[in-house]
Amino acid sequence: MYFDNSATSFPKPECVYNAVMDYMKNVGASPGRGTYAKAEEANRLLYQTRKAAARLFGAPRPSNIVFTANSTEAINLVIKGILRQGDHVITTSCEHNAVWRPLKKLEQSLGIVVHTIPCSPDGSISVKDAESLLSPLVRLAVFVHSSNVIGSVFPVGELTEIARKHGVPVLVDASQTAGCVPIDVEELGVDYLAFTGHKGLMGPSGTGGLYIRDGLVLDTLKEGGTGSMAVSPFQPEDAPDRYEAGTINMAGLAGFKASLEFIDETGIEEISRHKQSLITRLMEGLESESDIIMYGPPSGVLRSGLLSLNIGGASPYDIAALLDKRYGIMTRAGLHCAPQAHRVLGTVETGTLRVSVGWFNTKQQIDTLVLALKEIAQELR
Amino acid sequence: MIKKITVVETSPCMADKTKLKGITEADCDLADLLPYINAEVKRADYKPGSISFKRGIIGFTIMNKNINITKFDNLTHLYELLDWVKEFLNDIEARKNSITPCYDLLKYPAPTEIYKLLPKTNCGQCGERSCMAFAGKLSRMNAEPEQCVPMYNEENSEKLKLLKEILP
Repeated sequence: MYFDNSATSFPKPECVYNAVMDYMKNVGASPGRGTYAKAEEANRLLYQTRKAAARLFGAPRPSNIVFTANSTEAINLVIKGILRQGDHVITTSCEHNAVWRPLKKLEQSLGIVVHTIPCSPDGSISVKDAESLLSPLVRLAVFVHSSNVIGSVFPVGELTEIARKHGVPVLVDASQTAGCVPIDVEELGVDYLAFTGHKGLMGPSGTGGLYIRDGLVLDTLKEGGTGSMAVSPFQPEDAPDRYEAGTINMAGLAGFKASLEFIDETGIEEISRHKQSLITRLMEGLESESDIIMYGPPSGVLRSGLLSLNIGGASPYDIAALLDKRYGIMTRAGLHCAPQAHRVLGTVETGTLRVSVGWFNTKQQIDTLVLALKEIAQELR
Repeated sequence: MIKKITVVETSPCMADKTKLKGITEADCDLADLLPYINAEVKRADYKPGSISFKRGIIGFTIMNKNINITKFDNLTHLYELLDWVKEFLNDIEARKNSITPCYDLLKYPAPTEIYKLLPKTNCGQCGERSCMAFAGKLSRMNAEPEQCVPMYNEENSEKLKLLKEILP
């Protein structure tokens, strides 16, 4: 029983496995690198993947989507493509290391100044706090859409509106929300949206990308062959080629296209409802057990399909190991690459046990998990 | 109705090496559609058997099954343009019965007629060496009036209006 979908979703829809295999066996060629029928097939496949991603996020054009290896690369591209010596940046107090480490690195190397909007242990954030931190020195705002530890979904639309009023571009880290809640970049008003293919979007690992609003140009993170304008010694100016140096992960993206189509056919609202109902069932099931501490927003509030918890003072690592060994239930213990979020919860010393659901989890599985956790809690008493 | 347009070849544009040109092929013959396209597109260059028109700087030439496109940025851009042209041509095909086909050939105005209306500053801001050279390009639709900066000064507004009237 797999409950680690916030790390990587598993299983994938059958069409994803088939699409990867079909590309590798029957197409094989690199997109943008040849004038023969198979290369055209690869070009078309890549374009259709881009189009499917643009459609899911409400981006006006496929060329607003740049593919990267994961969210981390997309986030690095924006942070390092914008921030310069002494710039100020605002972010939240519960960012994943994918945001926090690049910012800390630039704090060290370029003397940037990082301001954090405090997040409460119940997973709420104040829009007013964000406004008080905005100054003319702020060059970028970076907001996680939903913390991978706390699970609440931040009001990024409101945060973005305020940042943009001050002329500050906004990057949203949608690692946990893409494929989990509906996202419309135009409606949210964001300038950059980083996403990964292998979590809620149910694609292969090594896929992901960045939405870039029309007209915005970033400095590049890497330079190299793009299959276009080969005569020029410099990277092309136009997206997506500007940011996609080197042969792209076409096998992964072929699978990603299939998973995006699967989501489109199933309906993102339906997927969102299913995950929310599983988490609500889990929280309601555990409510009566006083030794079980559940973190983040109360039951019923929208979450990105995850719940962090602890049982009494027991080590979450021990509980995760016991769940696996005795019940065949896979969860994740520790800091989840997000010590900042654990500081908010007061769990940075201990960590938590995280349960994260996916499209293929069922109510019956949740009931089994509830029974297992209660049994462990009672044994520990 | 076009279901699919396949890219046959792409290569750098002759005129502007930073842009690409491409030969593409639709899965049906478009020859019958050309006079209908000519009726719908302003300033299209129609000849029996082919039609060329521009959308911004992007050039389209349609001939039998071929749709050739010039001055696009990259492959993603090309496929976006193919999505657009497919929808555009299928829409004309769907409305064919209510469109009167047009067999008129494009009349190019004489460069000297255009030259008379230009500011004659030879300032070069349009990218040409002289106003006469720019007039030649305008007459063949290889340039846009917007490239002439002094033309947009208040005192030339009347001449600009006349220029736009005589251009195809």
